[in-house]
Amino acid sequence: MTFPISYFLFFCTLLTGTSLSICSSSWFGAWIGLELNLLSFIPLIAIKLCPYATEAAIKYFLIQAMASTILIMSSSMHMFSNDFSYILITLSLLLKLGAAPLHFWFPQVIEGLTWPQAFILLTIQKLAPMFLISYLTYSSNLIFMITLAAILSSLIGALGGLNIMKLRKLMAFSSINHMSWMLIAMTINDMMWLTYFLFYSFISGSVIILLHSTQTYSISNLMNQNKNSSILNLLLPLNLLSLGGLPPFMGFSPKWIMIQLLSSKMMIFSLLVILFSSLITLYFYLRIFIPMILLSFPSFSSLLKIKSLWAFSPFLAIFTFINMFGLCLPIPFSI
Amino acid sequence: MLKFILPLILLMKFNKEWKVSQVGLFFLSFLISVNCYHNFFLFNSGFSLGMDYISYIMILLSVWIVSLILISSQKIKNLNNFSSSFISTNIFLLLFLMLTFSSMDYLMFYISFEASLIPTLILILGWGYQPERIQAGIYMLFYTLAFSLPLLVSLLIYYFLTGSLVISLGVPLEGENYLYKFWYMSTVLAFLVKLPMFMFHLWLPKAHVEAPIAGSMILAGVLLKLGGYGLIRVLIMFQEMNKSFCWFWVSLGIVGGVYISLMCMRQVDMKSLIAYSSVVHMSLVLCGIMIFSLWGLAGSVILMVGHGLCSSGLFCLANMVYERTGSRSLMVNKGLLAFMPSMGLWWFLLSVSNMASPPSLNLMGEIMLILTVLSWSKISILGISLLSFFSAAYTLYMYSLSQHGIFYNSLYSCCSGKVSEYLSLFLHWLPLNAMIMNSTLLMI
Repeated sequence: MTFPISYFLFFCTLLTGTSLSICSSSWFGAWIGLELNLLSFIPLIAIKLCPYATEAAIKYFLIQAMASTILIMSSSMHMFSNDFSYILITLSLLLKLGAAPLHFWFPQVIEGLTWPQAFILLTIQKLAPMFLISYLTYSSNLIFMITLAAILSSLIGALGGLNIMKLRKLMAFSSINHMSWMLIAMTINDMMWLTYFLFYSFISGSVIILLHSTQTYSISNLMNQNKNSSILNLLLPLNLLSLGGLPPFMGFSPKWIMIQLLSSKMMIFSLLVILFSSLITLYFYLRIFIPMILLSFPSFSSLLKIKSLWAFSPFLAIFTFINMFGLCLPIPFSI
Repeated sequence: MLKFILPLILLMKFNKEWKVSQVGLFFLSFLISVNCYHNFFLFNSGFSLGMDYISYIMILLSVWIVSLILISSQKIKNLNNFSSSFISTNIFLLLFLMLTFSSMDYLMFYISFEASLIPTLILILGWGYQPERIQAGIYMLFYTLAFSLPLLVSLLIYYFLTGSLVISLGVPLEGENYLYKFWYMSTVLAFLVKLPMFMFHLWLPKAHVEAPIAGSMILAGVLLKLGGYGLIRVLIMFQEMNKSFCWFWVSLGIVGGVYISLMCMRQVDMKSLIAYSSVVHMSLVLCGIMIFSLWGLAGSVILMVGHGLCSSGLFCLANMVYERTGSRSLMVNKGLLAFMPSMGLWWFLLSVSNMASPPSLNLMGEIMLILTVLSWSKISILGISLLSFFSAAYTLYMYSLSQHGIFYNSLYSCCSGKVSEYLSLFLHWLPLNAMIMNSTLLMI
């Protein structure tokens, strides 16, 4: 894949912005980092001048600029009203994140992106606001707000994806749902949400590489082109089940860690809500691949030349392998 | 345990060769069956896997059923309907089942218990017959998953409170308040859905009717037994609580069994009749496990093994008829005695085994379970007698309606059974009636 050198430059400043806002000791520094992050993501979106990408870039810019404005305003305000300013900061960060009551921009923006940009939006862009929120978990009010956002985003991520045929929107809603696990982990333990985040970005990365290598953007696309490689018929379902957190795959392990954490803190109610809404997300993952499985006939596939999927991307093999067998990883250490 | 699991993993390499994997599976079941000399509580242990008496017979049953599946679904090989992925799906399923039955840790048990759902779902979706299989598969997946996620939570809470998830080191919990009751229910219901108990059985007939023969055989033969096996393992934790809930499960089992056996009498689909009959048998198993007596436990294990062989053989028979006439309806398939005369013997033998006739394991299991339930309460004699009467009645109904009567005229030119079909039925029937001679293998 060829891309202009500016892509590389903007990607570097994107990462710089994220690390700047994570490492800064004041809210002003955090704001600078977030702005740098925003302003270098915009050219990354609009690298191809098509109307969809431009629309996404403008929507993304407006929302994030508003969130940054609220952030800088409320951080300068916290000398005279401490509680209120922190509530505003949390809300603005939740808006930047796309967590539940403030999630409406997120599926619309992701609809205009290509898969690599969507992957950046789903993972790297989440990192800075998440870290900043995790610095805010010291008063019970804020913890309550974060828990509420977590429960709401689990419900909305589950119910919002039910009736959608576009794969990018589905990934956005699944990311909202996964964000609820991270937010609820944040109220307990700083390390756990980072672990969950790493697992999530790994699994969604393996799904996205698969979808990018076949250039599919909707469920009907998947049904049309499934005949050119029979291994895709097998790999995509298993990766999606891993994203849904079914046991033999790697996606189960962050869920396991989180359930253990939440049940040791006896947060049974929020645990049950999040658990059952992630069961609903499993339903829309199933909806993606059931037509693929059902519409593949052996008589067709023997006629067509089967192209090796490993030729598409060198990462694909290793990503999917770890995704399938990640849960077996602790076995050598447990003997 | 690894000496059974590693050959199985290596066998996946040969998924292109149908005959090699079939012979390999039979050889593996031979290797496991010569391990029956065990006379110590736990054996073959290591890597947090191991077998005791119940695990051993369940593992033997599952390997046996999977090797019989490969014999009975020769049609997939003949049509070349993704035969290599069929074999690897079955071997994956068998691997997860072996892990489930041999794991010494509740969490590993849970993981492999859940993992066995995925190959089953792929079997139903991939090789089923009708478009309704999507509904049946998703219904099964979500029904069992929705009830087993609370199980995971309750196991992790148990780990947090007692510090260990090793099955034989489990500490019995003593507490009677509402939280404990909720905990108990969320633990037990996962297995009651899998068993399936009356009122949670709705997924089973759907899944059976839509599944291919392999799916039906593995569902009836082994997957239902996961529920009973899990109950036996899990009830160690809730001994006190279970004593106060025992009356509920036993009465639900008996009344539900009578009700479901009446439901069987009005089925016209052979497969759904056999599926409902397995719900009836499993309700007896449920009674035996919940009563907590030695005979109840041994009887339910014996009935599980007997029912696994018997109903899987009946599903084989129903599929053979389906392959020839294209219908499973008892209205179409009449007078089969006339056009498949020698298959009539196998219909007879497997039907009477399903009725618990003398030399079968079902008889032994049912005698033990009936005695257990009677020693628990004298009033239950009413329900038990109705249950065993109606379970004989619906099997007779299935046998006589399919074998006797005037047969459909366009069936004249159909062939009778093939050798491999007779072999598969014989291999169902032989352990069912021969294992009663060494019943210490099944007693605990």
